[in-house]
Amino acid sequence: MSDTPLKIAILGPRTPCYDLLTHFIEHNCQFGLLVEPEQADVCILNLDGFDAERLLHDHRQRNSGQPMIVLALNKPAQEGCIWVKKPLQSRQLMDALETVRHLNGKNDSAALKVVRNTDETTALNQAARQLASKHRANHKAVHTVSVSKTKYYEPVEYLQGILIKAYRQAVTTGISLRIDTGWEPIFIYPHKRLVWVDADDKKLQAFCHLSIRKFSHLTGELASGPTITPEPGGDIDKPPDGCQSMEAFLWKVSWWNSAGRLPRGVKSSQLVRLKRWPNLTRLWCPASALQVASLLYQTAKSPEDAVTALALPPADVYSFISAARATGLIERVEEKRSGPPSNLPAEKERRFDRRPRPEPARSSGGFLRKILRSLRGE
Amino acid sequence: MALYNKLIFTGPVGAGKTTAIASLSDEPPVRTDALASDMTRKFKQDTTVALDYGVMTLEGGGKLHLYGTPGQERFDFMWEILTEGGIGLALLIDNSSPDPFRDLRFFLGRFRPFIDQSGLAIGITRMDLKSDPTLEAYNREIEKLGLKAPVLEVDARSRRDVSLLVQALLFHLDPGLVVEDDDGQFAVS
Repeated sequence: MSDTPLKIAILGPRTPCYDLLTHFIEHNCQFGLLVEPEQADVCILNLDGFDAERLLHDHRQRNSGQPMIVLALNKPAQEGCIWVKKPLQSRQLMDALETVRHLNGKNDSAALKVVRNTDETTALNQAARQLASKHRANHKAVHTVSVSKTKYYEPVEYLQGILIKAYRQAVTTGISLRIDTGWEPIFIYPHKRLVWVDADDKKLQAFCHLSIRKFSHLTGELASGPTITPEPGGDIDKPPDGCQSMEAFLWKVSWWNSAGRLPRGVKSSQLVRLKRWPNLTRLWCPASALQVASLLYQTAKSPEDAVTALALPPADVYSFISAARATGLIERVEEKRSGPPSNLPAEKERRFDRRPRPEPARSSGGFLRKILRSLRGE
Repeated sequence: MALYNKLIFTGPVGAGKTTAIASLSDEPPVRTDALASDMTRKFKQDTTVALDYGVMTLEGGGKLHLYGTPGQERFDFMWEILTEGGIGLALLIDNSSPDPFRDLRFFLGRFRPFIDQSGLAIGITRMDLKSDPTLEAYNREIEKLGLKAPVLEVDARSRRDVSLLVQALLFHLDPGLVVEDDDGQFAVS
């Protein structure tokens, strides 16, 4: 009977999935020991990750006969691998590791000190929760938004376009969907209004810099274009850990796809108004979003006039408008030479106007500014 | 002449006013909780019977005084006194309560004269427990009352959430408000 630990290696780049597995093996799997791939009894690879198939091929050439556990959404075509279906469940992963232990003759059940919960709150979920804060939308981590030199962009050419299309389909049919763009697959759970993707904000933002066509061209993936397909088994009561709200996901994708440009269909001279404030406590955005929201909620303004009124960089205003438009919060207002610039009934508009409102000019200082500085920890 | 250096937190019992003030205050807030003896006991053991008070120290030594009104309607005689010199109202509504729209209408009605002279921001708490009504529905409801205000989901325990609600209120008062040396982030700890 052997107490020898099972030597496990995780292949591939550092991703949330990689971190999750590392954390799981280090903290929740007492018989597992993380080692370099060459010394491992078994390797684990996220087969849906970038360039994973080539990685698998190369690794097997160098280490033929070494057991391999692959994590994948769909059953892989590769022979001789132990498949663990994603989204990951700790029980399935532990079963796969036990299989390897049997193969290696390390099947002493007494030595198998696995932290395994009997209820549904599995060890893997615990590990995921501990890591969750690391991969949650981090306002500080992704603060440099690249700005394009052009003024307009076409949302349908970016992830934003395919996402909106998939949202409509998912919400209309109530069926969970999967988007394949050649990048990480994205899952939509319409009943819970959630999205799941195996990527943190940094990785997502990097992907958002490219149009889908450009990404396909660079990577050679999905030359036929992105696909939206039903996800079998996706109608689960308990979506996987790390899900994000559909609204918050679309908001940030649109913000980053915009890269400081206006979406085609909103001219810089067109009057626009915000129907309501975005839920900014739960959305990714820079501090200037509060100003833009406030101005466009109170008054219909053209994007270029909003830039002037707030003295903000155009990119801040245009990206906000792009994200707000994608989430259905922007309405275009027909310019009227007389009367309030609104499509609201005049009576209602007058009632709104009863309140004395300061002109949206830059304040030079004062008490409110001091409060603001204090709130922002300056 | 009243000094305009107060921010008022109001809302029904259990909406998170005391917690929100504690989240922002630089000093331990003064609380006047007492054992609830009326219907409030159903919701909370302790409740605010007079007011909550906290303070934010500003640059140059100035102070922003944070006042929380008692949630029970029988203390409404205090509300007018408390709002004197207030720059705005942060209304917190508990989304898990049996009729949050009734609470919304009640507090907006009672504070309307103050709201018309100052600013308003509405924070909806406990949306993690009950997601309906949605923020969109709240917006429709306040629009029916002829009001426009930021409506945000808020966890009163989170300084960031409460801070953003107050920042929204400030920008609602003046969208042109500017902070120099802005690093472009919500740098709220």
